[in-house]
Amino acid sequence: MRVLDVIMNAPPDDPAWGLRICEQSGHGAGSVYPALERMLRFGWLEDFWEVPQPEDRPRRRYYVVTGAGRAAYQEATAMRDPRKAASWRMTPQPEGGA
Amino acid sequence: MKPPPCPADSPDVSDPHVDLVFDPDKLRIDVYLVRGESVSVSQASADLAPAGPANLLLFDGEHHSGLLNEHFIEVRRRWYNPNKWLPVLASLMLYSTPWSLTTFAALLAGRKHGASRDEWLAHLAGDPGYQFGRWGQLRAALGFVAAAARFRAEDAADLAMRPADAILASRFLSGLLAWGLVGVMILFIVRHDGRWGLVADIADPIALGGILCLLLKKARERRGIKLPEPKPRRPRG
Repeated sequence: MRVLDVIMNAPPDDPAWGLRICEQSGHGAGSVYPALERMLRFGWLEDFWEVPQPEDRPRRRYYVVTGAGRAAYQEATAMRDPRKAASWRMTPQPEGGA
Repeated sequence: MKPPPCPADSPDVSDPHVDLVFDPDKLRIDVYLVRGESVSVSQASADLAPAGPANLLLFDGEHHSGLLNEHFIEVRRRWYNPNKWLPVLASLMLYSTPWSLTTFAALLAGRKHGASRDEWLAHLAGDPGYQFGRWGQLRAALGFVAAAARFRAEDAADLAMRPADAILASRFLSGLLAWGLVGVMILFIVRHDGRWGLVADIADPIALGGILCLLLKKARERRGIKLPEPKPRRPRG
């Protein structure tokens, strides 16, 4: 979810790429890249390479969310929120607290 | 591999530091050049390796006439002792660099994920707002190896699941599997307990058939496989 969060919140003129996704999601490369690969396979993401190729470093691979990805994200968020709410209700509230 | 001749004005990127832990007689110097022009090894470094000339290796296997970037050039000193082999893990820890680990990860990932190498090298190169330290690069490279191992495992699992998927996607093959196993159980009961035994234990094959149908249904749901609609029967007459 955090990976999708990062990709969805990236501005269109500066899309998300590997290092930035790792840094902003807080996950390591070992879990981010397989997750990206899986989301590409599901059709949730689209990828494209940086053009033109910079001379001083390798080109980057950018990721953007597709319509199917947005729908899946909203579905997952909707499922996550009631769970959060339920766990919040389970925790004892301080007396007199709202 | 014979190193290509270095032009006289080529930049010197060798590191003349001497690590006193290593015996200079057994020191070999490797220059790994990823992107850039020919690199000369300074005399100071070459003097450290009397056992043989420094090796000039091209990381990409080709010359680029682009800009020299210190991120892509690395001088590596290796302790070379053919008589005493270090354990593999220790050797990896000593000799491996983020770039060699990334290349290893790309090889491990396989041709299907060939684009990952460029992507990972871009990751290692960092961002103007974020530069890696040596440890950060090594950690990221180890992450690439882990990612490559997961790619391989997923590819292998996909390959292994192909026959199972074929069975799950076919009404005939699924039925053959379920009825076949039920038939084997019936034969087993008849052989051991006779026909009357089958009458007594008829619940067992029925239960097995039910469980198999349920398992097939669950497996289809899990794998996202839908059975084709059955063909409509021809109207009689």
